[in-house]
Amino acid sequence: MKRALPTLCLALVVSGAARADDLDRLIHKADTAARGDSSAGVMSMEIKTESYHRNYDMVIWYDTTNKKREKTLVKILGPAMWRGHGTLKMGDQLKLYNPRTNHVTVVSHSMLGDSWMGSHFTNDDLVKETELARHFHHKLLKKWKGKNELGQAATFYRIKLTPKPTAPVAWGKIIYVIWERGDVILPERAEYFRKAGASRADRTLTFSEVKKLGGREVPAKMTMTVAKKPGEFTSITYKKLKFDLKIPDSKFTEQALRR
Amino acid sequence: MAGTAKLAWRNLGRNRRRTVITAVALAVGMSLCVASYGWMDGINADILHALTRFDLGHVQAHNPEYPREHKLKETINDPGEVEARAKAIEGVVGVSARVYGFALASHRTKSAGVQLVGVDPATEPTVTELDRHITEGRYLERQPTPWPRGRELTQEERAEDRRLTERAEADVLAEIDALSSERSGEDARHRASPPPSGERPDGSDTSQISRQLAAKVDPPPARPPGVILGADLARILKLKAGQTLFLISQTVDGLNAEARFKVIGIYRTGTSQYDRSRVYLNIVDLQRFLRLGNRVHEITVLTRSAERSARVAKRLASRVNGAAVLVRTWDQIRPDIKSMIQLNQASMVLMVAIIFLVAALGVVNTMLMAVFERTRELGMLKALGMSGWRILWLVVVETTLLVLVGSLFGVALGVGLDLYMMIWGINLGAMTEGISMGGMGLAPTIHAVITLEGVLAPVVVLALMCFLGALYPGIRAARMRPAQGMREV
Repeated sequence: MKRALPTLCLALVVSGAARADDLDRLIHKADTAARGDSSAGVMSMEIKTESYHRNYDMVIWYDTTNKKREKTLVKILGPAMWRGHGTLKMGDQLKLYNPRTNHVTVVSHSMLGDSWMGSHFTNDDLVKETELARHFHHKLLKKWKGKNELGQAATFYRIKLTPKPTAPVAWGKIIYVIWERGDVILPERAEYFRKAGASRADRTLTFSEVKKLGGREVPAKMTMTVAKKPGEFTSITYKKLKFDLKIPDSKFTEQALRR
Repeated sequence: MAGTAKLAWRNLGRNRRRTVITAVALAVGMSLCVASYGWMDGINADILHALTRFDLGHVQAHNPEYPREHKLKETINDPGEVEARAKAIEGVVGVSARVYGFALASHRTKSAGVQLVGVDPATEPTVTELDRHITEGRYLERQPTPWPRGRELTQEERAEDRRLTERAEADVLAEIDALSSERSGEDARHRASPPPSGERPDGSDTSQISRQLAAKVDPPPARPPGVILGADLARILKLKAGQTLFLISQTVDGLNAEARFKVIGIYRTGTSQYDRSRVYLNIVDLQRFLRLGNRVHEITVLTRSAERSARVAKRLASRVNGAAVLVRTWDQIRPDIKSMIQLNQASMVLMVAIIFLVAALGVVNTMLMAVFERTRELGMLKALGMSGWRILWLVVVETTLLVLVGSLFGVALGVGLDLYMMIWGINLGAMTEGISMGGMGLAPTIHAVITLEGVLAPVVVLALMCFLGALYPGIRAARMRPAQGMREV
């Protein structure tokens, strides 16, 4: 009896820790589903706001092999007004290139909240994209069995993410819904709340159109909507994705940004 | 009556030294109060000047929705009409229209969020003095920059655009394929794959065609439009006159607005709001940059004096369409500055009250002594039949004469100090580089402003205080019992 108690406690602690690790893994896999360690994707972005309706065709290059200095290059392929616009992220720094004025703007802290290229994503989203795990505590709210978008049986997880005390993030709370079916772990939606106590999300990112791209199952479509502006949205649809590319370092330089 | 006056005068003369000291103390106190009023009125005038002559004017007209969130689209759509009506009102000295926007300004590696202000260089100097505070370069040009309008792309152009996109996409896909096949080892054949689009023989043509298409929709200006900005902002962005500034903003219909501008002048007003965060340009240039057509956000009116603002505002409001235009006076727009001015005045009144209390106490003290040392004499007068009222009257007249003499010299001295401060001013530059009150930058030399109120108020208040103070000894003397009085030693 005396021996059993400490062992029992130890078992509970270990299983709790294991659960937290599981959660970490789940979140990481869902988060990087469309990104991998290094990848390139061609996609189209549709933006609908009160004042305009726009479509971009663009390519995104990711290199997240070096966790300390993750790199992203976005290039807009069309239409004419925006062709050649580029965004380069290296670690925490973001640069925007405008080919029409041949000017590179280094995004300052005050600009992080601004919309990226007129979309509902912000500059901050691009910089912080890869850091869900690093800056947040996670807590599993609910786990259930249900049907995913394709009608297949899957295990769903509803996870609450709250920022760590010193995390430089704009959101007080994020609710992340992930589903798991065997090896496939994908996000279904992410709800962003400015204040941790809020009941209604300030903006919502939904993932849909799961299909095989680049050899993996990924949600081909991501749609961002903002609570305060119903009817507006920004959606990204992947047309082509390739994973595990060996992208040369020269791809993530200002020269490449300006090309 | 005349007799009482003579008597009072003689009584004062009895202890000449005491009378003189009291009168001098009174005069000094009085002069300080008068000078303080002049000083404070001078500061308040400077604050008002900084507010109205550098930016606000006296009366402003806006779209009724504009004051709440300052949205770009909340404009006055018929500025010409409002301006014409304002100019026709009597007492109006200048009328000028403004357009406002926000932008990210950057120069090399430095950037800052700024407020863009579009003004008409022809009419703006009639309302503000900014053109007289240029420290480097020169003021804005009157002529707007030639800037062609954009147009929609034709069917053909749009088809060409789509072709360019397909081409760009194909190039990128080829690049991606080349990388992935390298990885998987299928090298030899794919090494000869085409290089990325920019290095193609006709790559430069593609980007040029693309730029030409974009320029049809959103043409750039013929040359970088001129801007002027504050010395603090120039320092933050490490800019000098003649250099180029890059501005990124959004047009009223949500398009990207980005262009290069030329810094043609740098100004310094002393107020950080203007020196640190504003960039001024020609109103037509800014309207074109933000695609506002001929709409404006604000029409500002300068009247002959701040006191006329309310009257002019009312007259303007009655002559324009109230649904489309909201007219307000400077104190309605900046109640915080008005509060500050009132606070200055209130704190001054407090200080004056304290000085007067002390001075009045001095007078009361003197009169008390003057009365008590004559107790025997007054007792005798009462015994002889002088009524209590007449004794009270005697004390009051004595006090009045004392206060009169002190006030005369006090006012003269005070006005003298005021005149000195008005003409030469007091330079606080030694203590601080620039003073600011409520964000308004003031010139380091403060000049006093002499007002009737500033001179009369101290006199009236002091007289009243002394009068009230004299009542105590006066009443005591009046109620004294003759027999008791005569027994005093």
